[in-house]
Parts: sequence; C-alpha cells; structure tokens
Amino acid sequence: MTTEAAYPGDDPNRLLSNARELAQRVRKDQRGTWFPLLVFALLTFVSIPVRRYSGHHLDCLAVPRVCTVYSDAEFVYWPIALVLAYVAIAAFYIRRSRARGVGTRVRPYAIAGIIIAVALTGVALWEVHHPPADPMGLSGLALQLARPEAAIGLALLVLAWTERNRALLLLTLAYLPAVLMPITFGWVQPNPPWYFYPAVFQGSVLLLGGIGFALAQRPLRSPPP
Amino acid sequence: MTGHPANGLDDTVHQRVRLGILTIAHEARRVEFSYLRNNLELTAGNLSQHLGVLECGDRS
Repeated sequence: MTTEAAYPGDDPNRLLSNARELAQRVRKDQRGTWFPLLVFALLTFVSIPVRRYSGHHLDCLAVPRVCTVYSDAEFVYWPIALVLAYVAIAAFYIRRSRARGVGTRVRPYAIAGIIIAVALTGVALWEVHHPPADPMGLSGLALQLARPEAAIGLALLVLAWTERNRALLLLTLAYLPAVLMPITFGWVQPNPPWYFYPAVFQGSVLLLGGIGFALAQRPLRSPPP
Repeated sequence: MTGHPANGLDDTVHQRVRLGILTIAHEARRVEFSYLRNNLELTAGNLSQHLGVLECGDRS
C-alpha cells in the first residue's frame, strides 16, 4: 500500500501536461520513420532499370478498344521487393526497440503493408485482363491504385497512424496524389522515353522525406550525457 | 455523490512518478527498467519502490 500522497504542490494541469510531454517523448523514441522511407526510395530507384530491362507485354482488347502495357517487373520485382522490405523494416524496428528499451507498434504496419502489396498485385493482375474502358476517368483511378507505388503510400498512411506522426501524414498526403495521377502522353509503347520520370519523382519524394526524418530524429539517437 | 472531482484521485496511480510510469507503459506496451529510470530521472531503488506500489495496487 502506498504511504505517500500525490505531491501536494503539484498542479493537476502541470501533472497532465507532464504526462502529455512524456507520451510525446516516448512516441518520438519509438519512431524510425526515415528507414522505411529510404528503403522504399531505394526500391523505387532500382525499379527503373528493372523495368527497362525486363520483358514487356502488350494486351489489346477489341471491345472496348483498350491496350494494356505491363512489364514483368510489376508482377515479379515489386511483390517480392515489397515483402522483403516489410520484413527488413520490421527487423529494423524490433532491433531499435531492443536497443532503446521501449516497444514499438511496427507489427500493424508490416502486416498491413504486406496485405496491401499482395492485394493490389492481385487487383493489378485482374486489371491486365479486364482493362478499364476509360483509363483517364474514375475507372483509371483503380488502375493507379493497384500500382506498387500506391501500395507504398497506403501503407505509409498506416505507419503515420501507428506512429501518430503528423509530419509523415502530410508527406504521404503529398505523395499519394502524385502516384494516383495517371500520367500518359497518349501513345502506347513498351518503353516510352518518359517511362522513368514518375519513378524518379516518387523516389525523390521518398528519399527527401527519409533524409528529412533522419535529420530530425538524429539528436534523439545520441545517447544521453 | 462523490463530491469534489479531486476526491476521485487514486494515490496509487495518480502520484506524479507512477502516473509517468503508467503513461510510458500505455504508449509503449513493453518498456525496460532502464528506459523508465532514465526518462523519469529516478534512481533504481526509487523506481523499484514505485513499481512495487503499482504491483501491490494491481493485486488488491
């Protein structure tokens, strides 16, 4: 049984404010946002040569008159790379959590990421054989949503929620529209000259975000004096 | 009737240090002794004492 009362001099407001401050500190210690962002930036940049040098397929339907171009990278490279990335991210968070002595909530993020990646790959496979009649319309949005870059963005929303990280939420809200916007110049060819521009842009957003979070979280990583 | 809201405070959990311990535990779910000691700026003995109080409170 306790023998000491709450400190009589403690103002309840200050007590609550201290508790809030402590909770914020724990959340900051749990965050390792820069790592997933840098991993996904790396995967996005590596996908450029993978897409360039992998096989391409062109499927056309007579009715409606729609052609779909897709590369092996979309169905081989990305699903494998995403699953491996989530395993690496989970391992990173667990190791970091042990080093700091405070648990993290990486499991929902890793599980959601893998489920989203697998589900969207399935949707993308289905859409190859059932292309939307209007790729620039609403049905085209589903096509964009089934892209691996969108899977990364959707999973980042889960990470922003689990980490309660507003800065990551803002970054993801800027990243997702850039991914979901259909980019086409009206012609169909397996490797158009501009094929790598979206990947460079998306990878750069992730890379800059990762560097920004790494710099912001750097002082927290240094051991206390 | 409970009277003033302050009467509802429980010294076992609303004491400053113990509230801090529970706040950290709630956020992290798993936390090591050294993390609590460093963040709450306590000695090992003092922290053990507070953890003991919480443990007793949990049993009663």
